[in-house]
Amino acid sequence: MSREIGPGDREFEDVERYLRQYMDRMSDADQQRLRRDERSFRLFMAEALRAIAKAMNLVIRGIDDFVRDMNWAWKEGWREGAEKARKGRLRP
Amino acid sequence: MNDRSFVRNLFQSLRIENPDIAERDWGIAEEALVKAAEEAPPPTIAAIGLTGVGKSSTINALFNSGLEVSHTRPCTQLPKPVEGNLYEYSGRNSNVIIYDMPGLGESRKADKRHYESYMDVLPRVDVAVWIIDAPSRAFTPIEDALDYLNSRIGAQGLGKIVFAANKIDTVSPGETSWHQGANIPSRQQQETIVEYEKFLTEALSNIPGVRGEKPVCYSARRRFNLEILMQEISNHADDRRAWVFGQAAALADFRELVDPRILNAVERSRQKNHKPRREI
Repeated sequence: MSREIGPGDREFEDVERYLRQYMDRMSDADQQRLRRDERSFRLFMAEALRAIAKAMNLVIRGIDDFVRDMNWAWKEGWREGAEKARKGRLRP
Repeated sequence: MNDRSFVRNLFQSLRIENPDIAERDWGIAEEALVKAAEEAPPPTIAAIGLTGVGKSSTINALFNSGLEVSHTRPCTQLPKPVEGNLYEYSGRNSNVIIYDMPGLGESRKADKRHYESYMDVLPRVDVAVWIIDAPSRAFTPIEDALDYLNSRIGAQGLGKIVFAANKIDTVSPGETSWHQGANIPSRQQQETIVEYEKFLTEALSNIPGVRGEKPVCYSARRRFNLEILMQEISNHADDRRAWVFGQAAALADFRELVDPRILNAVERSRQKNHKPRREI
């Protein structure tokens, strides 16, 4: 038989602690992954831009800064997009 | 993410720093960069595991949000046929290419044949997820395969593999012990999981090429530890490709399976104890 507990149960404190720590761990994992995504996207874009510049025979100064500036864009754009996607998820 | 507006904003600073470049060239470079991001190939994953281990449910839990699986063959051209099936999953955020690879342990003859498939597929994928049916301890076939693969493709090829144990909700003393309301393992199951993780970590530590790998114990059905699994998948992808996994990721929400009364109590407690975390 399945076990069910609620706030009135004696075990609840243990369960609540476990669940809180679990959710903190998941939240940290998510944040770390998003930071890796961001760094990865910057690397990809910088490499792609260098390749484009080379193909066009252009010397573009400041590509490294361009990559650093993406931190701003990430906060303003990507994160907002992720939140929007979360709200628009299909599952009820 | 809107790649176009994203790139346009970023190009403003480059324009200031490079006044010698003609506006027409900026336009061409901008278009080419947006195209490069939009046309980046979707994430490619080899899902290795025996039938019934939960490969499809894992992929659904990570990328899909409940959409139907499309069994159409993707346009990826294969130099030669591989054993196993090739699917393109239409995820909510973007597509994911999956090589559905057979697991080991059915027979020695079949296992040897599967080794060749793995060798063929591993170089083509971003990441491989080797899904083990928890609490199985039948690790010898996997150990033999990894030894063989290490001798043929080396540690670099094996570095793509994430080891993951699904159905962690069924471990001893059994599925009925799982806390339904909180959607977490019971105290006894927590102990079993710790032991099982230790067993898997030790088993992997004996195999050259995968030493130090930390297996992920999760449950696709309970949506338990999916964030950790997704993080490991991202960590095993190439630095320049991890972002495509981020774009495709659409993790099933664990919290939806938690009793709202318990969830509310926990959320309140988390808010109360919240300490701002230092950005790394």
